[in-house]
Amino acid sequence: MPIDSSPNSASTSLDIYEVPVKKKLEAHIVRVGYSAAQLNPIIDAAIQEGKRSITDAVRSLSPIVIRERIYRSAVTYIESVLSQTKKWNLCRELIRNYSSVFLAGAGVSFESELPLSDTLEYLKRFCKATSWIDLRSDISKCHNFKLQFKIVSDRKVPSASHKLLIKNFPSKVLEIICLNWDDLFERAANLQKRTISKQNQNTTVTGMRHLWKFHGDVALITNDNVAGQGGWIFPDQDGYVFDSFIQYTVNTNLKNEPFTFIIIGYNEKEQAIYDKIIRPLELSPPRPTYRIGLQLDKLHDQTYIVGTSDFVLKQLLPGN
Amino acid sequence: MESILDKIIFDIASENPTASMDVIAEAVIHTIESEDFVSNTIRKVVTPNKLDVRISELRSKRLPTKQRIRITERVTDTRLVERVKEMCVLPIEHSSFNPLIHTDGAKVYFASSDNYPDSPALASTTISAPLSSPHRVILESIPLPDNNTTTSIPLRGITDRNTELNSVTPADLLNDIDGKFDQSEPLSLYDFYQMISLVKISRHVMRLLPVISKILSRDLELRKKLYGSDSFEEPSDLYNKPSTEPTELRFFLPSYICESFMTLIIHEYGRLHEEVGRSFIDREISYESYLRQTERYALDADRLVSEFR
Repeated sequence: MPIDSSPNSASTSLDIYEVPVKKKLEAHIVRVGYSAAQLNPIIDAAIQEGKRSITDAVRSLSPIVIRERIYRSAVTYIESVLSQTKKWNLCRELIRNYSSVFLAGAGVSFESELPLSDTLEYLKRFCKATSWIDLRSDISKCHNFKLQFKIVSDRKVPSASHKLLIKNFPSKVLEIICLNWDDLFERAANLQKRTISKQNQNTTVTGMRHLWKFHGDVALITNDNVAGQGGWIFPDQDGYVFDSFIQYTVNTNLKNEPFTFIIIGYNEKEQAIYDKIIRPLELSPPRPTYRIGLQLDKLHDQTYIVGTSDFVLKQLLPGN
Repeated sequence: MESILDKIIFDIASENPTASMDVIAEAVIHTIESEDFVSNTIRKVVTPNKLDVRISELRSKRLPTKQRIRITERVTDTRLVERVKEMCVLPIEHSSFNPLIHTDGAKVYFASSDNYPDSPALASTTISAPLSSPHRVILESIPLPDNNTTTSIPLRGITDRNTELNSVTPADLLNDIDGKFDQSEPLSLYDFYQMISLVKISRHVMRLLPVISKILSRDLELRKKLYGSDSFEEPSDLYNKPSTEPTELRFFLPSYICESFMTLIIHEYGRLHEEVGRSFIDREISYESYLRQTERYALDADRLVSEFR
């Protein structure tokens, strides 16, 4: 039957629109000359953007209007992502000229289907913790949480982002600062038969060019939870940075070197990360800095690239 | 009168895209002489010379017939007729929009198609009306016209880029539509055909639709008065009837057309959203403005959809 045009119940989930909208989007993408399979992560992000456009005022409208709004908002999103060629080109050139340092947040692993903080709540509850504070204060629950997360993480595979960054490390990507607990960068390196130096504890650093993991590592699960000694930093905390990293930037002169700084899939809400990494690397001295994320409202910002990590990195880094 | 002639020429020319002018002229004359629905008046005034001129004019436009809007003799305002004639040759932007309206020369068809993939009954059903007796509306289970046939007309507003349309004001069109249908008798499929043609040539679709909604509402009231509300048949009942026996659809037609107009509203809303989206991408407006404007369009579209529901 034709789509129901009766008034929509405000309680109806917007999820019911996903399948028909996705079909229309795929047809649209093919019409404008792209491969729907290639843009699949963008399509998913676009549908989420479309669903976000359904405000309370719109939610009570006819389903036929809501569906069209989700579809059109998603089309705008996709076309916005594809319209950023000037930004891609400049950023790519800057990486080519000056190399880069990447700060990777949860958004990178999200494309490997690892949970973000909102769905981590379920794992926390699974471990019988009532809050993150409760989890941290109970060694047993905390330990169990890490083990359970490792099980989830082990089921996942590295995304194109993980593989691309490793492929360009350390020639175009000098350092990778990963704030995620998973080991997807390490597994991407294994897949490429590469050895990378990982720093997952706050200890004296030797050599240069590392993968930094300040917030914990599924490969290092200790009985206690001490930051810098294998302890994990949880979503309700303000982040943590190894002193050894600060010292490393001085010793190796990374602090004063020119490079392009890329922040990818990270919401910058942790004060310690902003104060000790983002601000100094972006501003002291001022460096070309780009942010990659899904926020369409930042499309007009010349240094913000809208899009999923996989898709954007393919535009920026060689070897995809 | 000329409009019927044009229609015949369009149909024949579209079916024979490579035919010479002489061949088309001959076929047109043959049609005029043989078809019942062509009045004697037309037969008398059409001369080979006049045909040559018309065919030549149409040929010079170099546009496929399916991209033209046919002129009907029921458009009585002379100025509008002239304007519509000019518009007939303007290209209509790509659209997969349906329902389709088409004619095979003897009947006007109003058919649903792939817009309703979940409704095989509706998708395989065509409403038609003989031009000679347009009020006799018949539901037939016959194959739908192919989207690509030359006589199918995608229904949608013409793009704003067609600046020649700008001289037709919404008031012109509103007055024309509202004044044309006196509603002393129910609307025929042919009337709907004209209404849709007017909407289609307008760049003010959203402003026209409330008037059309009013006309359709009046039409439904008239049908109830004439035929009695007891005989009202829900479309869902009609789907289940044996398809071999044609069914008169006294009430089904307006609701069917309303549904089609709802599709048109949504299509138009989508077009407006797309335009604003383009402005946002091109940095002409902010993200907040984009959200605000598109939300307003959604509310407008919903209000119009409610009128047709």
